[in-house]
This record gives sequence, C-alpha cells and structure tokens, in this order.
Amino acid sequence: MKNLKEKVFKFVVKFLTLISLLLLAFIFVFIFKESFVFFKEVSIFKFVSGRTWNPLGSPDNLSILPIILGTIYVSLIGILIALPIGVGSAILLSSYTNEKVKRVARSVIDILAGIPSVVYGFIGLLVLVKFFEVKFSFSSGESVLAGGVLLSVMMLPFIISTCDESMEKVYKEYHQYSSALGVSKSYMIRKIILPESRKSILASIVLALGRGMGETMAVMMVIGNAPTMPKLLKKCQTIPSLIALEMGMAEVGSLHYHALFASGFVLMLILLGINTVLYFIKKSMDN
Amino acid sequence: MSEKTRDYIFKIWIGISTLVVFAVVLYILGYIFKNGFKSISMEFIFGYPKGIPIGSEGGIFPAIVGSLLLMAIACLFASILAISTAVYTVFYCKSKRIEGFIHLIVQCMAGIPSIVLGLFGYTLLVLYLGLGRSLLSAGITLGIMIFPYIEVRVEKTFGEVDKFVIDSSEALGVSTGYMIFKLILPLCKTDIISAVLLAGGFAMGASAPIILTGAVIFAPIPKSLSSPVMALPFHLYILTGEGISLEKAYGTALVLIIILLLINIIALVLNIKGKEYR
Amino acid sequence: MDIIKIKDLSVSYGDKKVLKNLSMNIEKNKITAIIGPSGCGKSTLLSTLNLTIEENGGSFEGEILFKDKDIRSYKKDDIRRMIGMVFQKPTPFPFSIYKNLTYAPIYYGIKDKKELNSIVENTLQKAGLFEEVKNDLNMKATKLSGGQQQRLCIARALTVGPEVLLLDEPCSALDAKNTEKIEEMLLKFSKDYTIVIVTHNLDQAKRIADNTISILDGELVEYK
Repeated sequence: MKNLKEKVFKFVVKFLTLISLLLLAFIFVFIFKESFVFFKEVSIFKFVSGRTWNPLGSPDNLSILPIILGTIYVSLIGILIALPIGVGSAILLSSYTNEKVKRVARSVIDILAGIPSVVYGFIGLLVLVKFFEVKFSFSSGESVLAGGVLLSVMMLPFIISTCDESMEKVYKEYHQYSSALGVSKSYMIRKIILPESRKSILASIVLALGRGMGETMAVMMVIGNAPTMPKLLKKCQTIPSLIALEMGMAEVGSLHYHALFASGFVLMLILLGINTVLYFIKKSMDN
Repeated sequence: MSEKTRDYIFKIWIGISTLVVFAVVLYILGYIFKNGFKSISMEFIFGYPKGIPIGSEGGIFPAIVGSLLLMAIACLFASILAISTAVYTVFYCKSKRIEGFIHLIVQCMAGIPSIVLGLFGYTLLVLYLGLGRSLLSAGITLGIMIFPYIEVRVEKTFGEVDKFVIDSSEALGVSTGYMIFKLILPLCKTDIISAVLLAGGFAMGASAPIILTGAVIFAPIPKSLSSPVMALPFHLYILTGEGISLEKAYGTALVLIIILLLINIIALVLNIKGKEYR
Repeated sequence: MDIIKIKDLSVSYGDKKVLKNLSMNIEKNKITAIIGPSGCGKSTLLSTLNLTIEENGGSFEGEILFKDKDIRSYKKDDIRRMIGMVFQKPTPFPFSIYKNLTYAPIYYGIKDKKELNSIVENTLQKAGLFEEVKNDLNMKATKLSGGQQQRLCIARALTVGPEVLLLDEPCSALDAKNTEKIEEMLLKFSKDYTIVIVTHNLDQAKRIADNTISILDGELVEYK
C-alpha cells in the first residue's frame, strides 16, 4: 500500500512539473503561430525595418522599426541613469553598514520593487511629465526622457539587490586581510570588490534591461504613444505599450491583430538576443 | 590623481547615490499617502463606482474584491505547479542535466514580458479554450506570471533544509513522498506561504496580463469564474488615462499600496517566525 | 629591548572577558610563541595588538606600549603598517601574484615601477617563494598550492615594511613539508623582524621560539 502511495505521489509530482515546463513551449508556440500568420503577408524583414505603423492603411504600413528603437532607447536611458546610482548604493549598503541598517535598507528596497508598475506610471504622469512641462516648458512632457527616468527608478531595486548580494560576499571574504595591511576600505572596494563584482553588475544590467524592455504600464503612461522615430525629448512608442493599447481595438483575426502578435514575437527575440550576448560576455569574462 | 582625491570622489559618489535612492522612496510613498488620504472613506472602500462617467463617484469595492480573487486564483494555480516542480527538482531529479534544464526553463519564463503573457492568455484561454474574458482566464494568466517567482523561492527553501535531516529520514527507510509530506513541507511551511503571499502581491499589482484576459472597466463582483472582473491596477489606469477622476485615482493607488504593504508585512512576520523554528 | 610592553591587559567581547590581567613583554627581533588550547584567547591577543579588536566588537583596557608609546596614541593604519598580521587561512587576493604584492605599496603612494618591482622581489625572497614563482608573477595567485599561498600572504604582509609580524596559527592548514618551509623562513628573517606566532603545536614552539608564553583560560600561565 505504501509503495502505491509513493508511486502515485511521484507520478503526480512528475506530471505537474512536466505541465509547468510545457507551459513555456506552449507560450512560444502560440505566440509564434499567431505571428506567423502575419509574416506570411509581410516579410519579417520589412516588418522590422519599415518606418510606418498605420493599422488603418494597407498591410505594407505595418512596420515597427521606430517602435523597436523606442523600446531600446527608453530602456537604455533607464540603465544609464540607474546603473551608477544603483551600484553606488549597493557599495554603501554592502560594505559600510551594519546588520541592523542592512535589514531595514533591504526591506526599503523591496518596497520599491513591490510598487506596481501602474502606480509608477501614475506618479510619472502626474509628477515627471508635469515637471518637464512646467519647469522646462516642453509642449508635452511625455517623452523618451520621461520614460527613461521612470524606468530607472523601477530598475534601481534590481540592480541594488543583485550587486549588494555579491559585493557583501566579496567584502566578507577579503576585508580582514586588506585591513591588516593598513589599507583604507575605499581602496579595498576599488581594487578588489568592484573588479570582482563585474559579473554581477553585468547580470544586473541584463536583468534590468529585460525588465525595462518588457515594462508595459508605467512606460505606456508617460511616453506619449506616438509611433515615430524616437528622439529624447519627443514622444515615442514601445512594443509593450503598442500591444496593450491597440489589442483592444484590433479585430480578432485581422492583420492588425496578427501584427501585434508579431511585435510581441520580435520583442521576445530581442530579449533572447540580449540574454545570449551577455551569456557569451560572461563566459569570456571567466577566462 | 592621488589616492586621497580618488577616495574623496568615491565617497561622494556612493553617498549621493544612496541619498537619491532613499529620497525617491520617501517621495513616492509620501506623495501617494498625502494625496490619497483625502479620498479614503468607508464609502470609498465598500461602495460601488457611480456617477457619469462611471467611477467619478462612489467607491471601488468590486475592484478590491476582484483583485483579491485574482490573487487567490493566481496563487492557487501557480503554487500547485511551482511547488511540484520544486519538489521534483530537489528531491526526485537525479540528473544534473535535467536539473539545469528545468532551471533554464524557469528562468526563461521569468523573462517573458507580462504583456506577452497577456497575449498568450488571450489567444489560448480567452479564444482557443473559449473561457472568454473572465476571472479564470485572468487568474491563470497571472498565475503563469508568478510561477517562476514561487518556484525559485521554494526551491531555495528546500535547499536550506539541513542535509542531516534528509539523511536521517532516508536512513529510517522512509519513502521520499512520506518524508516530503511529513517532514519537509511542515518544516518549510512558513517560508513557502510567505513566498506565495509575496508572489500574490506581485500578481495583484500587475495590469498587463489582465487587460486582455479579464479586466474590465466596470463589472459587479464576479458571480462565477467565468465573469469578467474589476481590478485595482486596471481601475487606476482607467481613472487616470480617461481622466475620470484624479481624486479617486489617488485613493485607488493608496488602497492598492496599503494592501500590498499589508501582504509584505504579513510575509515578513511569517519569515521571522519561521526562522525561530530552525 | 622590548618592542611591545603589555601591562594588566583585559580584553572583552561584550560582557565576556576573554583575556584577564595579562602582563608580558615582547622582545624585539626575537621569535615569541604564544601557546595554549583552542579558544583561550590567543587570537584575541593578536587582534588587540593590531587594533582590529574594536572592529570585531570587542574592547580592551590596560596598558599596551608599542616602542614605549601608548598604542592608542598611534593612528590605526600606522599601527597596521608597523605591526603586520598573517592569518590561519591562506587568502590571496583574487589577482596575480605581482598585484597581490603591489596592492599595499601602491596605496601608500609608491608609483615607480622599479621600486615596486624591487619590493615584489625582495618580499618574495624573504618568504622563500621567489625562485618558485619568479617566471610566473602574472599568474593568478589562487593557482598556487596551499603552502605557496600562505608564503605569499607572508610576503604580502612584509610589503608594508612592518617591524613586528603577528602570525595566527599560520601552519595549521598546511602539511608538514610546508610547515617546515615556513618555520625555516621565520628563523631566517627573525633578526630583522619581531615575530609573534600563535600556535597550538608545542613542538613548533620548541623548534623556533626564543620566548614562549602560555595562556590558559585568558590568563598568563607560563613565561619562558
């Protein structure tokens, strides 16, 4: 009897695990299936390099180059702002604070990570965009810059916690030996901890980029949603916002509908590309 | 550049970075609390949206209930799959290659943008399986989103169980399944619950997966799994995007944040209590 | 001449007193061994002498004179330059042998390549490691064997030109052959440095020490 119970249990566990793993396959298959319908009409090359997105026009006018660029541009700005601030804070957190402060600080960072993206978008719209409009008299505060700044705030907790964890390990390992030489903490951090942390800083960039490019609501609310070539202070569009906005109005089965799936597919390809590139960079760093 | 100068610049850099981070956190929380406070009232929390356009007056009760229901379904769906996968990987999987493969898949799933999951939920659940825009479709889609989150944490918890405990159990000749049910799960109970709760909080705040799969602008409290549902984040978006009511929007944001903070606090308390038993 | 004079030293971690009313002197340019069972406070004594005790959450009272001046009147970093320490676990920094040895000198402002090279060669010679690694100075230090790593750590401690070298059970993680090499090295340069070595190995103390101090339960027991 006991044997049977164990066998059943093991089977159930294996089965459920299989389903979980198949989910990923399902996701890829379904997204690809719906995108493929579009790619039969419009070549993927045209889709990715053309500059006009006009769902009401002829199929040749469904291309997303400006939107791809917008997605990348906004995330890039986000990383550029968030990286120095995130790494700097991680250094202070990992090497200059005691256990009690660390616990509090890490909870605070978790809170930042837990704020829903729609709330970020909300604040971004009311504070950032308005700020740009009032202080710098932009005609419209909605811009790549607004999206980038907002994303940088959202990326901070990921960068900080990834770097903090690994920096603390390195600190604990070498601190004793370095201070026995009479050398200052900041020297040790600059000479030992930072170089040793290159891998985790890189990992945090990948993580942050991935989040940034997949971010929908927050970005959608502050970039203006104009599918034109992105300029720092002008409106732009990103793939996730495009999908979120237009999916509701696209007729099921229409070319527009499949084009939106196609852009989701392209987004996944881009993310896959970034992860692969960084995997190889990591490998080369190990040598 | 002398060592002294380098040291100085370095310290300024890390000091300013940290200040910026904390200023931002304080500002965000302060902003929401200050502005949302005025809109909070019993009527707001327990009333229904009213007015023209709808939502400009009244309350957000259906959205609160909707969000909680969505969270429940997502957590149920995700934890069954995630805990099973974690159990398999830690206790049953003998091949390192398969283990690595599973980790890779889970990581990939974690990297899928939530809007793509929304697309998937839409095409598979809403259309293909005919579930329509419903509580179930949206709940499952959210569940897929939080699955990797729970799996990774539960696996970590299992990994932290003392090797000796497992070895002693094996030495008694007890089957793996028995050990998992009677020993491991009770031991890890609080950590697992806290991970599921936190994941639930994550699900509750997400809008992209539910826009296409079940969230609507206005709906009563869902009577069944197949009814559409209102949700707090989506409601916030509508109130803001359609310019319906800034005041109510602040209130909605505040309610959402408070619920999330409560979830986080409960999870934290569970975490601390759990550590006492180890 | 006694380079370190200790009178009535008590060291505590919080409420727990680890060393009680210790009084002893360390003779200059001689090897002093501190022996005693595990946990009796030997390592604590060392960390008090290079002033890391406070960073580890402890405190001390009593008098410690270094070169006839109160040890607290010196700056912490200066003390560590003059009193170097080698730990039980050989822990080279995660870079090349060369960089391990130029780490501290560069901090102190030595930029001249020639000077740095001579410091590297010098300290490696003293540690008895130069012949073994002279062609591989750019090799990652972690690729060395355990014994070589420890000798590297000793060389590293010497790069700042200390007058006193504290060693906390430096051979406990090493095999007999490497232990022998290190003892040989210490004997060789003991006329240039004051050596204080903590060990739980009585034979080692007999082999190399000029003076031996026994500590039991935080108190001085024997002084030879």
